[in-house]
Amino acid sequence: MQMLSMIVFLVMSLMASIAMLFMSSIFWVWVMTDVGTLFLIPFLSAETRPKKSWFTGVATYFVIQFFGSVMILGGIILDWAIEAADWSSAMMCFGFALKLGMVPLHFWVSRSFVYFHYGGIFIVGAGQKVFVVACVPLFSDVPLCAYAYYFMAVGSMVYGPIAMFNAIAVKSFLAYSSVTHTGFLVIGSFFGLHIVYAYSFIYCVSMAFLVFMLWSGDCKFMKNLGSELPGYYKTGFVCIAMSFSGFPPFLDFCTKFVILQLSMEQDSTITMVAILTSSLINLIVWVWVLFIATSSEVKEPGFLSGTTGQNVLNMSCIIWNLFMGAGFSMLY
Amino acid sequence: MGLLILMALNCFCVMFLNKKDQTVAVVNCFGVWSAFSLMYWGGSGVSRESLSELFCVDIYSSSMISLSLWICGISILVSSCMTNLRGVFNSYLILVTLLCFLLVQCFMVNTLAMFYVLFESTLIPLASIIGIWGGQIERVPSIQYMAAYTVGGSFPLLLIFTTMEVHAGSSFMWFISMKTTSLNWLFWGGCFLGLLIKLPAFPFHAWLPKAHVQAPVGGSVILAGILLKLGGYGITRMMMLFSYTLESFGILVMSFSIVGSVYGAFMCLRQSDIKKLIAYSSVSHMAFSIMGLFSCTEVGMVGAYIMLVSHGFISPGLFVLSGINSEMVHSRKIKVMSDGVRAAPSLGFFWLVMIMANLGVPPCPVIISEVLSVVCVIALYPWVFVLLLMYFILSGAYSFSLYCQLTRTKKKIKMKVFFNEVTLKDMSALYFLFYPLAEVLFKWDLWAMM
Repeated sequence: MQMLSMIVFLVMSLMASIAMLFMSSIFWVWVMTDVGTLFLIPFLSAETRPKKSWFTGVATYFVIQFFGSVMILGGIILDWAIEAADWSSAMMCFGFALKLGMVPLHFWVSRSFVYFHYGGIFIVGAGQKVFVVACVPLFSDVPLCAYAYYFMAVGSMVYGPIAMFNAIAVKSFLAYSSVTHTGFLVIGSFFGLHIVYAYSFIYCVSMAFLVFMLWSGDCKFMKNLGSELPGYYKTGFVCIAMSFSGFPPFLDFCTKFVILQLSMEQDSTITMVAILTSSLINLIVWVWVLFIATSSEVKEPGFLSGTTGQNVLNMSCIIWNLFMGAGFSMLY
Repeated sequence: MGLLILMALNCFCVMFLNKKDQTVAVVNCFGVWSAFSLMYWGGSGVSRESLSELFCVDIYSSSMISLSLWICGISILVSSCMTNLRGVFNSYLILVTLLCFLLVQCFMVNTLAMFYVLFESTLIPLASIIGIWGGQIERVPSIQYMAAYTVGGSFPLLLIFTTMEVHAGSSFMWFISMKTTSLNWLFWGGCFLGLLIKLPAFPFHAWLPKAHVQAPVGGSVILAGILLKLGGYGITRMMMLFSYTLESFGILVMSFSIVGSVYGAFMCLRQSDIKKLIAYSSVSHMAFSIMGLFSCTEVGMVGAYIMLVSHGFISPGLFVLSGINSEMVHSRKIKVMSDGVRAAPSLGFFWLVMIMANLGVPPCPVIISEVLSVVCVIALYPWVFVLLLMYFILSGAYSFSLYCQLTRTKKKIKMKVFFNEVTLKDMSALYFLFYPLAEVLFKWDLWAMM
């Protein structure tokens, strides 16, 4: 019954998010964002063994999202009432940045994620964010807000990997990874919605694989990743880690390369420097994670040693990360 | 392309063999592929046999391809004799074969974009080899150093070929000469930085001793034998592509190299760890390649490639010897390794031969390379001879010191060795490294046919 309710609320949230993409008015975008967030609350709170900590994490998430929504609504009303475009855009920019968890408004991300279940981490960290990013106005009429939004994205791209280094808990690590990728998504939105959709799809699938593997091992701390991660998923995890490291020809290198290419076409030097800096730090972080994940004191079952479903998932993950990069490059 | 297809088919066939036979089969395959790759060796210009849409090979590429195949085979041969490769040895076979596959493609591709992708991809198998079979916990920082230096240093190259793709529509390396008047230090730095780090050039050499110390013997053989040469090959292609001539940037790089050669030799004198000593000697020797390449003369180019190929055989030979010797005494300390040499006197002879080859004693081709490189550099500024003289003195000193430490006889404590016999199988890798040196000696003017 619990699982059914989770699925129902998740589907309703997804429907609201999809509807958001087709709204032409910023007011209705705000409505659908809030509806989607509200439906996520029961999903995030659902747990077979309810503990106070779950509600703490969900409460933090809800308060932040609520405050962000208030700022967005305030901006909409201000623009409607007295046509103060600057203040309106500033409030909306603040509200959306807070909801997305961009630097320096990212303080809630790790605090919430640590108390979420893995499904919640995926939905909040990847699923929900891609819809919001796709619907955020770029504040082109108020250059100051546009620059602020842009630099917050750049800051997220660069700060995220640095914070990942200091993560002790796996969920905290995923939180900062989410911050990094949010920065990339927002930067991509400056170049066009098509890149947002492509990057979002790739990011969501990769995160789904990663989160599922971590959930199956009930991984809690980074230092225990090697022993907690199931042996039959280790090959897939290695592929994901190499992909997120930015090694060619894996998938994540190709997506970042496309954004780099677009920023070069637009002569956006700051974006190029940020992408390269983020990639370098990311590389070091994920090499460290790779080593932790592959070190184990106990001899474990190896490749293709799980059930059929587990092996299929593992192989799919390997194929996705190894070959989709080439496919994406050819298609794009 | 035929070589790649042959490699893929052979690997597919080897999969069906008994696990015990796979090692021998793979080593034999590398021998066959090396022989096949000799087909690409032709006269000046592009090899007709190699021409295709994706690949294009000339004498520089083909020499590197043959070197890759030979060295990777040696790596498997020497690793099969070692007892320190824990886990499934077949994983090592797969990683080395994959690495060789990537290297061969890297030396064959005709676009800068693909060269970059393959250049970075070679890090993955090597990092895996060091991570899985590396000696100590410090292997993680060594991998991070290596990855950060290599990937970070080649980011400017990424920007350059991306610019080519965006503005020119292609990063085709052959028969295109992009001459612009706005080329300056930033551009040349971006072109060559990643490749100089790979070589490694002073002062970007810090990653190499760490990587060598942590890598298993087979990993060190591949790293010293062929992976460093990627940098030299890449520099050749970049110079060809952008019609590089002698510029102030090149003179600065040559100055650093001269200092680097003296620095490397000095650091060798101070080392007690055999692998670090060989790593620093690699830094010294690669400095001569850099001098030759950046001198922009045919003589310099010939000298550089003789050094690249010769070093590709000598340095792995030193690592093979250090691997055998350190397995006997379970230590990489030079003073402790003398116990192993005393237990197996034949090792003393082989150490002498390899040390002399490393030093550049005739008839080793290294002396030809050093002479040609010195000629190029002195032609620019004669007083550089003073620093080069210091290098020759220091290199003689550390070589002599190394040999003396390995073969000293006065010992108070009873020696402890784990085995006191070195068989033909153990030394087979070394024999296969001697033979190509003779070939290089007799064909040293191969790279002069431009």
